[in-house]
Amino acid sequence: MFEASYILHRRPFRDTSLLLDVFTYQHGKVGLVAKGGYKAKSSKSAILQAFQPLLIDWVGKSDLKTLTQAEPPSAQLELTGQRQFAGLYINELLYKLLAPEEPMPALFSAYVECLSGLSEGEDMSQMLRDFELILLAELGLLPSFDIDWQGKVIQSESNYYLSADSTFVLTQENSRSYVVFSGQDLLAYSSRVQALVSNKSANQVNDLKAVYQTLNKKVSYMLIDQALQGAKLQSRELIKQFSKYTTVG
Amino acid sequence: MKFGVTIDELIDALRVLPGVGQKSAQRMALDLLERKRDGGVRLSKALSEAMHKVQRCEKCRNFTEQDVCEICRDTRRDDSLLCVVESPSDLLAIEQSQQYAGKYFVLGGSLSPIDGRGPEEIGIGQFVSYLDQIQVSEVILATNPTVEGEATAHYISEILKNRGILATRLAHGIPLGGELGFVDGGTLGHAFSGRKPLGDG
Repeated sequence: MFEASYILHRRPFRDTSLLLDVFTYQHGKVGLVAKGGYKAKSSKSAILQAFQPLLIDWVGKSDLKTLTQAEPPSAQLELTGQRQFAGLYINELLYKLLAPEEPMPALFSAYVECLSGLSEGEDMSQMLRDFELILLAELGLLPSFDIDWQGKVIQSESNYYLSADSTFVLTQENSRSYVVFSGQDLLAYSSRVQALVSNKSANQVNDLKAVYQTLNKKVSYMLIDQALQGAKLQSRELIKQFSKYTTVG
Repeated sequence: MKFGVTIDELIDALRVLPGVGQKSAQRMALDLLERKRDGGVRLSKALSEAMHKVQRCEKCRNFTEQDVCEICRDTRRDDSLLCVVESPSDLLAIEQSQQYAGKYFVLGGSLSPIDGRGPEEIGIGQFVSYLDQIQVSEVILATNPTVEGEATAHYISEILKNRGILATRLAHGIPLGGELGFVDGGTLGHAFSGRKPLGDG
């Protein structure tokens, strides 16, 4: 039985094999070993790459399974320029946040949509923010944006901050130690998020205005950081350092 | 275990080699002791010398016994060409092809966020300061045709763009003596997009 999948990460294993972390449609994140996948003349090595749509089959019952078949139903999605880093970023997110072998078919569809959006030149930050939200929702980490920490409805004229347990807490002061969200923004945001998450599709909600986009980035970055529990996202560092090197000083 | 601490240590130490597990390490150790004592002594001397003397070239980060490697010191080589590779073994492969007579820069692998390899880890910082010291007209990006290698090539090409230096990428295509039927779609696609008119020159 072939299963649709994408490779999140690969690394050499022993002399001629590859260790793969694969995101599959029905089984979520699966660890596989591809025997002989790293040989100089292996054509497997060419297709066993990230962003390449694959149909794969494997055997084994332990944590590390053995890849038996891999076929590319279509060509590798071509991410050009900065979009390569965006692709590496969402792969790192899935690699670090998904529990092994937990089926996430809705997230898989969102992933495919995000990758094809990235390769087709859609708005990059929009694609990323939408994917982050669906990822957080699928992991059960998305707070409700219309209910506060005490279960009350968010008031549009009040201010809130995002607490460590992912709830919005009412705040009076405009402190610099945390990001403050206005109730009005949160409420408007809430309806958009719900539309996005219930459609489970990144392309359905394209009308996020700039203000929501900024809010979006702030919220999802904070939630992702909480989910990572102190682990750093290397791909984010990569993009940060990029501007340092590309400006001639 | 059965022979004593020294042999156990030898067997354990041999396992540092790539592709050598417990069984092969045992075989190697016993073989050296039984039949190849001279070879063993030579090996230990060579290993110890190499580990102490070999370092990274100040300029290109290739392995060398001096401060600056032989390739960087070679005045017959073209100073205006710089080829960026992921590892010393890639440099070796290019040298053996005898198709290139410029200088090199050896990175410490490719950018791979999941493996924790960022720009600093692979030596982009050193590459940038090396660029400041030299005059090059073209940088050939010879990183591997993997996702990570491509990302690395793009990263460096952006740095070069800002400095007005031409960045080129090695072509990907069908292996010599190969058959189209066995080539994967990705490679074939690259071969098509990089096709050349026949009969010029």
